[in-house]
Amino acid sequence: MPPIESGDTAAVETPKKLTVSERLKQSEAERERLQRELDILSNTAFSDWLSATQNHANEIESFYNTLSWRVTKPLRVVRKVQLKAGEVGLARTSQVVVAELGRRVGRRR
Amino acid sequence: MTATLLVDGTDNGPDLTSVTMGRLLAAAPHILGDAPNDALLARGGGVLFETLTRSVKAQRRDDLVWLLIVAVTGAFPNAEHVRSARRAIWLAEPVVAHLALLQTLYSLGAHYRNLDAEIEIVTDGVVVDVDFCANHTANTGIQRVVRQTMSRWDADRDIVPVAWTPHGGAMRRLSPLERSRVVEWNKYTEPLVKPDASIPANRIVVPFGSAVILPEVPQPHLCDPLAALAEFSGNRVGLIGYDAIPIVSADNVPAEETERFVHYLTIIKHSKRVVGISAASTEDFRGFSDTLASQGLAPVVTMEVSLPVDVPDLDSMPPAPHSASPLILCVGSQEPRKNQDAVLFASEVLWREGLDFRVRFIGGGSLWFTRGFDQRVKALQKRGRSVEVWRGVKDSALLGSYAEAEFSIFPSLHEGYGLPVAESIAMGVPVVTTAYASTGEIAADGGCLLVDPRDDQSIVNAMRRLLTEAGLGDELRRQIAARPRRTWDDYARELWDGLVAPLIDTPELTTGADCG
Repeated sequence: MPPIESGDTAAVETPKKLTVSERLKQSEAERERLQRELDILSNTAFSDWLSATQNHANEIESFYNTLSWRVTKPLRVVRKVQLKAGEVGLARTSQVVVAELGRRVGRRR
Repeated sequence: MTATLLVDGTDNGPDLTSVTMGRLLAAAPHILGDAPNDALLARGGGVLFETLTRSVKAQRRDDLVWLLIVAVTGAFPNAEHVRSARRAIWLAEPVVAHLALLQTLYSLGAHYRNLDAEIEIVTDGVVVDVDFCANHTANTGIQRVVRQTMSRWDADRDIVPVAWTPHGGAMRRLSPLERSRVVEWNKYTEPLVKPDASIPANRIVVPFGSAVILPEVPQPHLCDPLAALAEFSGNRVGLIGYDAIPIVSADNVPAEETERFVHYLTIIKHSKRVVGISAASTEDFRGFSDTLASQGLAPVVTMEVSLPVDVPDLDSMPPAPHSASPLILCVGSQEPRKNQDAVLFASEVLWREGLDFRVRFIGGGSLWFTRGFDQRVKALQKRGRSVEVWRGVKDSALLGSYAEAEFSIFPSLHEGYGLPVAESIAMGVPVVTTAYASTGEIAADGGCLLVDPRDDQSIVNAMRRLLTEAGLGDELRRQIAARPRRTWDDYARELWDGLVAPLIDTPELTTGADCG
């Protein structure tokens, strides 16, 4: 085949023929690049899942801190005291209630 | 090492990310067969999770599905969670199986709020769930058995006692206060102000390839995750079977007790062993086990290790106060099944006959019964009858009452065992009790006067005989002295041999054949 002269615009550069070893290296590099992309996708998906799940968990937690949940707390406490009195008697329940109140007042101080 | 644990692109902060990675790393050797290498770790947490999911998909083992779910979410799944996850993994192409799995685990992870928990995987161990005793000071029948047994196992055996995380998502180790409630009950005093660190750090305990022992009847919200653990996790679950009263005597218990017990049965049907506390209770559980074939399930191995006739541990016995009037003691939780109303009736009949005696009831109960019972007691007190109710008393007061009593009475309509009968005999105090089933078994060795609890006149007659017949009480005491002795030490040892040892010696992993 005659050599292609420089400046000949009609001529097309023939790609250099790669050896098998070079082609293998190229494929390996491409595979690694694609693998890195897949890894990023996997890591991002996992990270997004953690974020979303934790956010949902935080929402549940914040529900327990809502005004409506907190203002109805006395009703739940009364019910607990009722059950405790049935279990261990009124005298012991009174002791526990007084101690709990003392602990809470102490904390506020 | 820390750098390799970070998940690319995370905005969760290093704690949540690295803690989640820590859980996956702990589970990895069980799923991959070896610890993941540095090259894999360097590719990020998402890649590790993907690798674990692919491995689980390839192996098709339910126990690995269960473990992977726990490692990702920090929570024990119920059966539906496991089935959904398993189907998602099997159906998805390998390259996206981990994404399909994450989709099924979203609600579990959010609900139990355990994503920031560290993990401790217990393999080839014995994990004992004592959640109720760890968190409560009630000390009636089941709690007495658990505390007496655990105090001995904790001293002699290699066990991991556990409770559940505050939201019920997973098992965890006990705090020092909780441990004291379980294994040092005879020395325990409930502090009026609980220490701030009463709940240990956020670290879950995950049994894997272990024996999981349930000596309590789990609380309702724990039944689903425990049933899934028994069915899928590859752990061998064993239980103490107390009674099937909420099913077979549903007319004597509140409806919610029956509903709760039905959920408890879902744990039992996937368990390996149930050890009944009497011949009667063992028969009830064996009957349930026999029904499992209709669901295509293997029968649960059922055997009997009867509770002992022994007193609770106590450093010193309280002295018995002297009184001219004999004391009749009625111990046990107050509810219709225990038949305390029949005792009140019989007492009133005998008081009207002119007999002089005192009656003391010891035990707590639910308000739905105690409210009316207390009114009936008050009405008798107003008429000058010597009757009293003690609740929430310590063992020293209970044993002091036995020491003071002429005899005790326990005419229960249906029992799994009848611990007050055994304790009374162990204290040398004759008992009036039910002629049939477990109390009849205890009475067989002597010291008891047997009655038909459904016949009030039978109870009246027995009480009258013991109050009036010279020599009868002494004869029953002689019979008690001649009984063979069996202690809590014997029970703890026999229970270990019958319930725990077979679950340690015969490991049984879930295999691919078990998966659908």
